[in-house]
Amino acid sequence: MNTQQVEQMTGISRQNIRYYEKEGLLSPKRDEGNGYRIYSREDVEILKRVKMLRMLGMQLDVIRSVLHGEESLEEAVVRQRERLLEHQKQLKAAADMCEKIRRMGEKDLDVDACLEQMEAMERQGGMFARFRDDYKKAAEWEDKKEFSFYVDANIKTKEEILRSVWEYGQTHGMELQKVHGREEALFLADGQMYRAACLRLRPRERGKEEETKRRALIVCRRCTREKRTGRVRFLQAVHIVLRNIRRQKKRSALQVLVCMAAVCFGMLYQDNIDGSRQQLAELDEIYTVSGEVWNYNGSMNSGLRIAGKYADALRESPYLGEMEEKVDLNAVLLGEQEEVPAQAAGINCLAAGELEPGDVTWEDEGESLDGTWCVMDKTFMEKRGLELGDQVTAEISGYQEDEMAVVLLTVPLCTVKLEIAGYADLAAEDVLCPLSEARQWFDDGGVEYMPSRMRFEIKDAGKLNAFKKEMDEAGFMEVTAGFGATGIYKGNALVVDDRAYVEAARSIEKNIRFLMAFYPLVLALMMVTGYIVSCLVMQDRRMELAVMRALGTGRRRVFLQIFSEHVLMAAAGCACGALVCLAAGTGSPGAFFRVAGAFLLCYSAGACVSLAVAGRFSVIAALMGKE
Amino acid sequence: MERIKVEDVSYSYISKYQKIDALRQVSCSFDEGKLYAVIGESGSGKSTLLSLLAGLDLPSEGTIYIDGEDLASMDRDAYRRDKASVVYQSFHLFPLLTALENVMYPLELKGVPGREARRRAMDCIAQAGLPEKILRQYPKMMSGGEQQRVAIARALAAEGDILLADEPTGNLDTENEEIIAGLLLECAHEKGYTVVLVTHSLELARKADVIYRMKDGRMMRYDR
Repeated sequence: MNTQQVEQMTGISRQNIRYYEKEGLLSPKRDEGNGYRIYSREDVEILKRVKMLRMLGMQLDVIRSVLHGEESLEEAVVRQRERLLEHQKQLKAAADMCEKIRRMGEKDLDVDACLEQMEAMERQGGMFARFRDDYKKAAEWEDKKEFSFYVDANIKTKEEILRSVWEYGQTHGMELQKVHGREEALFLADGQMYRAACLRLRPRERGKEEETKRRALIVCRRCTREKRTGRVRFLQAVHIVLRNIRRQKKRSALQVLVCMAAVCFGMLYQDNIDGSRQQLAELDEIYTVSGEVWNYNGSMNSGLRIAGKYADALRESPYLGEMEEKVDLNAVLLGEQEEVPAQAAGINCLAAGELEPGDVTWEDEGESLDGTWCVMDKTFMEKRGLELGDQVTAEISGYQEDEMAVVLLTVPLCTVKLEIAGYADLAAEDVLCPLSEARQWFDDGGVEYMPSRMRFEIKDAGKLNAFKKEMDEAGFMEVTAGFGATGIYKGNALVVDDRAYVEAARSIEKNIRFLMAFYPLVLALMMVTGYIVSCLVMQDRRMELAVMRALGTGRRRVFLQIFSEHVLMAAAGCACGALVCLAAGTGSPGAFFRVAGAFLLCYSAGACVSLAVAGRFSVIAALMGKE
Repeated sequence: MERIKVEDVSYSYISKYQKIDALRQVSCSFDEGKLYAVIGESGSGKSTLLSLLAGLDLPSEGTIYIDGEDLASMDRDAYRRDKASVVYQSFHLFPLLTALENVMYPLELKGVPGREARRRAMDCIAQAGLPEKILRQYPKMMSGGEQQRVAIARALAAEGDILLADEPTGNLDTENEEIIAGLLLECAHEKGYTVVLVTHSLELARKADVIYRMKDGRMMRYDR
């Protein structure tokens, strides 16, 4: 016999039967095929006996002992009789109390005394409450999930269902509460929400008479939480997405490979751009941009005189690094017997005199260029019989233009004593002096100081244009090829040796512009990749999606599920692509995040469009296998 | 009690640039606790009618009422989740899910927690007469009969009370056809479902309480 039949035969509800089974009072066999319980006649007899003993108020552990033979039925019922008699006394006491209160009347009622007596009786407990307790325990054991009962009525409406449940509850001592304002037949039992449904039964054509009378089965099922918490919903969704990915191994692997390839391409592209930018930034370390003051028509052979405003503009420019400054001088060395003319110059550094530090032999190894000393040409020095450390007296003259600015005239400045601090093979001059001293001589002589030569290096070649603009504003001109006498000494033009740098920079900038111009195309390619991959996947899974829709899955949920799978696989592809590129030394972590971010965005956008378009298919046609 | 009422329903669609009138002014009703068979030749509109009853699309004309409510005004996704289930000739199980997971799907859709969903799904699989070993099998490992029973178990798991079956025995042998027919009858007569069965088989249709016949998109009651 099955559970339904046993219910009908014994009048014990299904959940009570299961509870008794759990308590070890009976052990029905199971059908090997479908796992259903099969109750024997002995099981039915046991259940009837259990019901009988429970209705007498006997506790389950006692009943178990009786059924297992640990205690005889006679002993058990004797003890139960004693308990019942004791309870009877309590009931009698309660009835007597009622009679007592009736006789006292309201005016003479001693409430405290009555309460004390009644509380003593209540502690004894109720007899028939035990059967209700069984239900509670059964409900607790099954987590109060479901119970059902037959009704001999034609149930149609929610109210009729609930009325049946109420009658059942009263019969079985259940604590029920109504739930108002809901369309379904809902009620509370022991604080738990239940939903009652009625299954109308078709009258049997044969069978016992009482079976044909039963028209409906009321099934009460505990309501499960319909609203899961956001966290549980999220975790469940993640589980479903990961499960789908795991089970579509080939498709998932292919998607990851495609994404990985796209990310690697993106990384290479970005690396190219970053590399070019870095090259551009480091270009001034490779190419030195230098310049020199010239006269405007390019003829330098007659010498230069650079006016103060031009010289100051160069000295004050923030874009220049080392500056070489030189002023041409005329010197006459006054000896004891003769006067020796010499070409002299004041220089601010050895380079201004075309010298390297190792070219000069010094009397002392210090290289300070301060003080009244000079470096003499070796040949000149030896011819005059001079040695290191000797002091010479010299009449120093500077140069000045004549009124027509056609020739340079010497202008006496002062007479000085110079110590020969070092000697070297000088190219053009015989004597080199510190520039600071030379400037002082011009001041002493009351002659305007104008350097003869200024050469410089630009610190940051990237600021070349700014430097040129600054020099334009200072009044410097461009050197023009030509000859002319007037103004040939004016140092008012600049020559900047920037050709190699500019060519290299232009080439790199062109490369960068080219790569940046195609950047949107690369992003578009990523989007198209997402679109195509998604289209192909959707085609393959159209039937699955149709079945999901047919089972009541909303469009939004279908979209989110498939979209999440795509995004997860794209992310996995990004991670694999990053590993490959970083292992190959292509790109930096910063570049990876940029590329991965751009890829995920574009790929997801493409997939989104594809899913939105592909989601508009006829479910009916798909399920019927038609297009 | 009348569950479904179809009132002057017509349905047409475009196929290969041609308009097809699949249903023409069909009117009928379906009561609870009964098994209805809809028979007819191929292309007579039986499956289309079933699809409309399942809320997969709306009729071009006419109205379908479910428990007195117009299907067009309902949330049809919720209707398919909570009230109506469909069983197909091709079973349409999810190939990547096991039998248990297939049957759990409608319960998960409703938000039933995992353990409870698993318990109910196992009950439904047992009700469909399937052994426990089927639980972890994928559809490709099952026979046609087993797949169709899993599909019916999935329909039962939805805990609705309308079951729509589109040629459920079309791909099955006689023995499995009998088993499936038995399950559908049990759903109608024991559980009180409204079962609508579309079939070519007159023998299967004769087991039903009411037979409707469709021809060229029109419906008429069939006299046994």
